[in-house]
Amino acid sequence: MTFREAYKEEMQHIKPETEFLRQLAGKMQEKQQQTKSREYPYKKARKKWIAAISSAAAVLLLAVGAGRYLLLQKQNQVNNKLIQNAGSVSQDNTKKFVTSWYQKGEDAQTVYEHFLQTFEEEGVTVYESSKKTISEKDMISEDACEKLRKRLMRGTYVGTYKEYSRKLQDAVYYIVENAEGMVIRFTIYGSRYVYCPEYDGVFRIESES
Amino acid sequence: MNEQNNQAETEEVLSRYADMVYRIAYARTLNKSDAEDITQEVFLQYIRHQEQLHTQEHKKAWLIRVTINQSKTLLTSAWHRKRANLEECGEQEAGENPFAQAESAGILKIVNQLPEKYRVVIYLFYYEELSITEIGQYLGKKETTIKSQLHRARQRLKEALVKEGYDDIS
Repeated sequence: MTFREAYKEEMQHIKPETEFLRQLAGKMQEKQQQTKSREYPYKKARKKWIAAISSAAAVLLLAVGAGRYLLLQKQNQVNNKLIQNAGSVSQDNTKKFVTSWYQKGEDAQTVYEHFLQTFEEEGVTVYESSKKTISEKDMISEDACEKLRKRLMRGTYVGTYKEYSRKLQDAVYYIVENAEGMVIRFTIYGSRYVYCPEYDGVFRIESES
Repeated sequence: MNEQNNQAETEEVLSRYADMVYRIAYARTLNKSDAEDITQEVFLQYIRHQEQLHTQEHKKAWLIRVTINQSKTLLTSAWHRKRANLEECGEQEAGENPFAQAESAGILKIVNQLPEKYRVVIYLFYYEELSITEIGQYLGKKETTIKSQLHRARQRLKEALVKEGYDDIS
């Protein structure tokens, strides 16, 4: 007889008594009943938690929404300020001017030509700023304005702002104000590309020599 | 209907695993009352966890692990360390001890002289026929630890058993 066989045979005698097992089965049944009866408060608590988490999430969403709304509002205020800082006209006046400046639905190239004509006008002032908010701006000299005009004249359309946004870096912001108080904003990126918010197009211009 | 199902499930789990749990508890404690206490505690805990134990393998592994833990808890409890063993005091009749007959046969007597950590490994390997990897997983120990425990237990057993006339310890 091997050790395993002998060990198994002797171990067979080591087992719980039938009476003990009967009592244990009874206790297990009892415990099961108790667990079941506790199930309701547990579920109730779980539902409470879910409701609490849901309302917290709703509040959070509301807060995020409100935050975004306020941010947009602030952005609009900044835009309005931009125009006000640039010249003495209100946003409404600018809109009126811009509407008469070109026809809606005209392509970017046509609008760009209108834009260039602004530079030909008498009494045009051009301001330059390194900040998007144009909180600090410098009026550029007549010579610099002439050079800029020449560079802009040879601009060629390369695509929409969305298509070209990857390449648009190192921005310098400009504001053109004519004698009538009309304001046009445009941006030159890396001395190579010009973009004006009034038309959806990016034009490549000559680098500064 | 539900109550009947619960009853059937309780009976099924007891008939399948009660002996195993009791034997592991006994292998560790070498005491009938302690083995019963541990068995009871393990199965009452099982009621709370049964919904998480879906397969038989999972149930078996869980029961082995909890039995080992419960045995450890009992053996290290202050009450257990300080109490006087009635059997050792000779107050219990020899005829009342259900293990007296089995132990007198020799093999168990020799196995029970091994340190407790070896006794459980011997039981799981030789009786439950678990692999070394499985024993390691169930006891939460490295395979190499189980291997060396089994090796040392065998060596000790061999010496004792050769004297008793057993020559195969495979």
